[in-house]
Amino acid sequence: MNLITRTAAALFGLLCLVGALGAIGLVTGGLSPNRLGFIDELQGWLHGLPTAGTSAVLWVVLVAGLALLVGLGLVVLQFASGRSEGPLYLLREDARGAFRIRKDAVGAIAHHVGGEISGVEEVVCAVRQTEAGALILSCRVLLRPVVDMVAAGQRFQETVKDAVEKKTGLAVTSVDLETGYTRRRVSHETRRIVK
Amino acid sequence: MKGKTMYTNEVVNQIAGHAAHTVAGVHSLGKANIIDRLKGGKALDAGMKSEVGEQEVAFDIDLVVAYGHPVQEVAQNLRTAITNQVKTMLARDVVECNINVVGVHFEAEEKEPVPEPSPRVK
Repeated sequence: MNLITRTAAALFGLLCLVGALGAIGLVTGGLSPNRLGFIDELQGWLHGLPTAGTSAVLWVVLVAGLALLVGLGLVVLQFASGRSEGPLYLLREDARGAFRIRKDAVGAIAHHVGGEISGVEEVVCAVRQTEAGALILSCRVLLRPVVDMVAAGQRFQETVKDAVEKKTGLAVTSVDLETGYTRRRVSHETRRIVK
Repeated sequence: MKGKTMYTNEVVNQIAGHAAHTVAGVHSLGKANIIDRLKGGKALDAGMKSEVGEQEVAFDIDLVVAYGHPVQEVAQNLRTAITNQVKTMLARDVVECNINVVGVHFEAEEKEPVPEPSPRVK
C-alpha cells in the first residue's frame, strides 16, 4: 500500500471516527445540534435526533458504534504498522533459517536500475514468480522521443535482468516490456533566422 | 550458588539490533511507520523478533538493505554478526535466524557542484 492509499485510508478512518462520535454525542445529548449550525441541510434531521424514539436512538448508536470500530481500526492500522505489502520470495534456506525478499523490494530494484538508463523517462515494473522460483518482470517504460526504441528496450532488458539477478541472486527468466514515448514536451532552443 | 540468568526479548533484540547496524549494507531493520518518522527514528530493536530460551535464541528479522549490496551477502553477514554477538554477550546459540528483506534504500543522489568557469584573463 503506497503513501497516498494509506493517507486516504487514514483520513477515511478519521472521518468515520468523527462521524460516529458526533452521532453518538447528538443522540445522547452530549452534543448540541446548534453547534453544528454550519451544516444547514442537516439542521432538521439533527434537531430531530435528540427527540427521536428509543429504537431510532438505538439504531443510531449501533451504526455509529460500528463506524467507530471501523474508523478506529483503519486509523490504528495505518499509523501503527510499518509493514509493506506483497509476498516474500525465498532466496535461500538452510538449517539455520531462511532468507526471503519482499516482492516490492525486487520491484524497487528494477525500477531504480531501469530509471537510470539513458533515455528512459519513466518506469513501472511488476514482478511475479514462476513455479520454479524464477522471476518475470513486466515493465512499462516511457522513453524520450529522440531515443531509438529498439536499442533502448534491449538495453533496458539486459541491464535490469543483470542487476536484479546480481542483487537478489534470483534468476530472471524474462523482462517483458511495453514501451512508448513520453508526451512530455521536449524543450527546443529556437533560433530566429534573420535574412 | 544455584541460579539462572534470564534475558528479556527486548535486551536480546537490542543486542542483535546493535550488531546488525555494524554490518555493511544494512540500512535499517524493519520499515519505519508514521509514528517512527514523527519520533525522528526507529528503536534499535525495530523489525526484530526473538524467542529466547535458556541456551538458545531464534530470530525473525525484517531488513532494509542499502542499494548496491548483494542481498544474500548482506543477509549472511547479518546472521553471522548477530550469532557472534549473541554468543559473546549472552552465551546463547542462535539456532535459527530468518531474514526477510522488506525494502531497499536508495541514497538520494547528490548532484556534484558545477565548478565556475575560471576567467580566461586575469
